[in-house]
Amino acid sequence: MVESPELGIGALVFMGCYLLVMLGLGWLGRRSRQEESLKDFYLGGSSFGVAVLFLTLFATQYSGNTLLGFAGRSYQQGLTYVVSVSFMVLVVTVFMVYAPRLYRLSQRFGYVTPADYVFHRFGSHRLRILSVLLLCWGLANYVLEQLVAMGHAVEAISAGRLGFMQGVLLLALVMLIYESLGGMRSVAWTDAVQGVLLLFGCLILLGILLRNDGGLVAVREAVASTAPEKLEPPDAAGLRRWLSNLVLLGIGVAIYPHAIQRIFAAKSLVTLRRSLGLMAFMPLLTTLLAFLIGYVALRSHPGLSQLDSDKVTILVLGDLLALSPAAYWLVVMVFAAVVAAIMSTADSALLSMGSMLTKDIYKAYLAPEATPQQMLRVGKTLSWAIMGLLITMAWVSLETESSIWFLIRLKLEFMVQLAPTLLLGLHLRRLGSEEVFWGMLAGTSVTLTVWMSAALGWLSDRSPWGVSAGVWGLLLNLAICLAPQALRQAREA
Amino acid sequence: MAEYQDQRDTEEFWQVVAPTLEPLRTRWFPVGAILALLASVPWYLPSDLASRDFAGLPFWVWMTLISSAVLAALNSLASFRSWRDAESETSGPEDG
Repeated sequence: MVESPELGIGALVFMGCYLLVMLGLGWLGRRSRQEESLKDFYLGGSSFGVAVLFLTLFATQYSGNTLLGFAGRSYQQGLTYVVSVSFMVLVVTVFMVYAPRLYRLSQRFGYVTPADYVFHRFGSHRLRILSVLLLCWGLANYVLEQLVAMGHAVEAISAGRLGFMQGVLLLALVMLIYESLGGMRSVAWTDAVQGVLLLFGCLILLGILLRNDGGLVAVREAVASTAPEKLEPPDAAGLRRWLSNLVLLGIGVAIYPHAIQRIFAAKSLVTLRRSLGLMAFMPLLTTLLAFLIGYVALRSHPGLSQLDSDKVTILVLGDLLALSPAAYWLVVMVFAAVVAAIMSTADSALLSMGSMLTKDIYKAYLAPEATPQQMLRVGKTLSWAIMGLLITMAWVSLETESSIWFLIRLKLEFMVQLAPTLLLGLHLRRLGSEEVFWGMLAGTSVTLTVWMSAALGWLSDRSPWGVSAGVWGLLLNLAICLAPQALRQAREA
Repeated sequence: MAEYQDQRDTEEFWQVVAPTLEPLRTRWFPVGAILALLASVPWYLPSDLASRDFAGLPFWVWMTLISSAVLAALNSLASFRSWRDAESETSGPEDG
């Protein structure tokens, strides 16, 4: 294991104040609720203006994955991981494909969850249930990634005074309290504070990285002598992996249910358009920063293991402590931004999961007569129960030394199977529920088979021929969705 | 506005679905996005040019970053200019 930097008592006091502000915002969110309804709790009454919507989208989209997981992957993979900037930009392109239609429908029909759209569009119960299962699977993994990142971050900030699991428990508890108090409103307001911290933290860190200690030129010279293969452009296999990552993450991240719910939560079309117009440029700050952190760490911290590479952001920040007394507070602020990014994503994913399980499963199939108050109670109880389960899983992932990147793939490869439902379903009127259901099921089965085969040693890699299992599944899924359309058209012609 | 209550009126769904203008219905956005995306994949550069150093990063990395920046600009432009909805822009969600 690598040593974490010593941040001292000042950082702990700063973090303590930050957590108290989060709890205060949770309480304010509760006081501002307008009614006891799912729409008010899970979408903040669709009242978010440009600033809050942009900051909550930003803080939710960029998370522990980006600042810890992507930086770690960049360190492991080398410069070919610049693909991360491309796929995060592609996410907004995919938004442009479905958001204009979905927003309009959500305003007219009052959707609260993505599965509301699925059922309205396709009218299939089994498709709704399968969609909710896949989305919840994705979200559960997503929260798990954030918990792992939380553990690493708190361990580092407290210089080992608080252990991995203590950090996970502390931050998870604060998150659950403010979320249970005010739902989406509290989450979005805390996201706004977290988004500002993240924005400034990233800007400062990017500035320091580009100028400090000879900048990128010195990094390149060092890496050219120690690990020249990490400077090389992708070969043929690398290009296939590149395209696979573009599809898997560019599409997968765009259909995160908590991101879709932020589209539903926009106050007006103008606010949504402006927020997404600004979001378009954020990968060039946040993802680029994570990519460069991994690159810089190749020079300053060579030879880290897969698991330790998740800590490169923390290690690079630790290196900056020695620069000047002013740098100390900058580093503390950036640390707070890392924690903010993690918490803002985890709370949003947890809230989204609670909303789907309550509305699309409990209300739809178990208790159709449930009142909004009962549903809110069930939703909050489920959030606490799921968090308990995931905290246990975080401990397991620590014991099994699973990297954040592994958890990212575990989530997206299954969740991406929902893409045709959203991207084709909103544009192709003749796309029916049968082909979408069987396509989704087949895509999920292919992905699961490849993962299981790799786990049992029957396949050497989870990415046969350099292409992710989830992308193979998606290709079959698309073929099943589109083949009946093509046949019908051919017959008619 | 009421919450969605398992309503099923597919005719109304398809009447409502399309906004007045959306990025996908323009020509410049899909074409520009595909071109920028293709340019972001480093498959076309001669190897001596690809590995040439500029400010600490090889040229091929810069090409990916510049193409991604172009795609980001297209996304932003599409969001601001090519997404219009007469209905949503004249009425808030309260009365939509």
